[in-house]
Amino acid sequence: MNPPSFTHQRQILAARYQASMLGDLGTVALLLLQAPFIGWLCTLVWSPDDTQLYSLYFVLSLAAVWFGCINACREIVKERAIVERERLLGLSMSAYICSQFQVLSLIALLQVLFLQLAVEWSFSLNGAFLIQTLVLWMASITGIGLGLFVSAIAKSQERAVGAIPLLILPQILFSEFATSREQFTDVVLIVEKVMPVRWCYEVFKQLAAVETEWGGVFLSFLVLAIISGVLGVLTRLALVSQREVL
Amino acid sequence: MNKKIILGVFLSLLPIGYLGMAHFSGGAYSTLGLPLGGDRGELRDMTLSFLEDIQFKDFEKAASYHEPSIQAEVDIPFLLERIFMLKPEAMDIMEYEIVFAELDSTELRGRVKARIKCKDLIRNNTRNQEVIYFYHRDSLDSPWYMVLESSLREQKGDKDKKH
Repeated sequence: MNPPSFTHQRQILAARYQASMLGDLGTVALLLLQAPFIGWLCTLVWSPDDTQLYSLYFVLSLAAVWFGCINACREIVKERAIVERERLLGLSMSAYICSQFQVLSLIALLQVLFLQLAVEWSFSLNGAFLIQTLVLWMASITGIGLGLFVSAIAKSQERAVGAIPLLILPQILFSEFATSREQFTDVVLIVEKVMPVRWCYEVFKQLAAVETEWGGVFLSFLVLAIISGVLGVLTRLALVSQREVL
Repeated sequence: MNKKIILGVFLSLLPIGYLGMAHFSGGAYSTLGLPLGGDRGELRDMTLSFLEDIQFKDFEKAASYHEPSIQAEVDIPFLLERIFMLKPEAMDIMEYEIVFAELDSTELRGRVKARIKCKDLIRNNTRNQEVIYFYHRDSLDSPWYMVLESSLREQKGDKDKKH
């Protein structure tokens, strides 16, 4: 008997993952409520009278990537035994990864929306709300890619969670908030280009500028999409090698 | 079946929840044209309406947000020139949005911060400018009036005071 098609498998796996998540409403609530809480904390730090809100834009971008990473980092490793068993029965790893992206992206969308709404409750951010939401979501999806990759290569959930600082701290280190752009070495300049937070922040900066460079906004979205895609492929490759190990 | 009912209830509560948030945030989120947001929502709407009048150079209408007794004396073009350092005819208000609206403890005074993107048509440069508009009312039932005139006119020192 032929295994179900990729699309069919993805749909079934997404439905199963969604059902398993809804079975633990406490965790889902925690994931969703942390976003407005962080947004509220931001409004305590930045006041509506701050004319330069660039550091807030950076923190929002970082939070979006962080949400994605944290949500995803345990998702593959925690059910690896089940997945490996199902693979013997024809489970498509690509469909499995896509189903993870699908469900986690929905949670990420709600998180970034709540985060942004919590900030906008106190004061309006400079720029189009919808584009800001989209780029935060895109950054969060990239974070999901990072998290899933870590989850695919980690041997245990604890190790996966422990690796998150290794993904998040460089986002801060290789940014203009750690050192001024003029002091960037060639290495920093190159590494900075693959940091999702940088591209999300770039969109915020462009939207807040007097003259928005829409080409730059489009490029940032494109880079985030490419990074997400590459991470998805790397996750898939990581799962192949896991099978060989077993 | 139960899940469908729960989902149905959730989806029907969603717009109510959103409108509730829009109201309690003082109109910080779009109220979809509904009269929500309380006093802060009203001040936001007034400011947006005022800025639209300025954008279309309807100075007579723009003066109507002030107390009736001083409306005839309010010189909007003069005030605009003072805020933006531009002659009104050389100024193009391209975009505007409300940053926040707040009331004082007595709820008789309010202020609204707006972010305005305007273009100097002579020098052909564009800039973002933030302006705060002040409002007051005599009692909680009275209408709100703008005090743009008093808050933005050039301040002269009080000649009776030394320090």
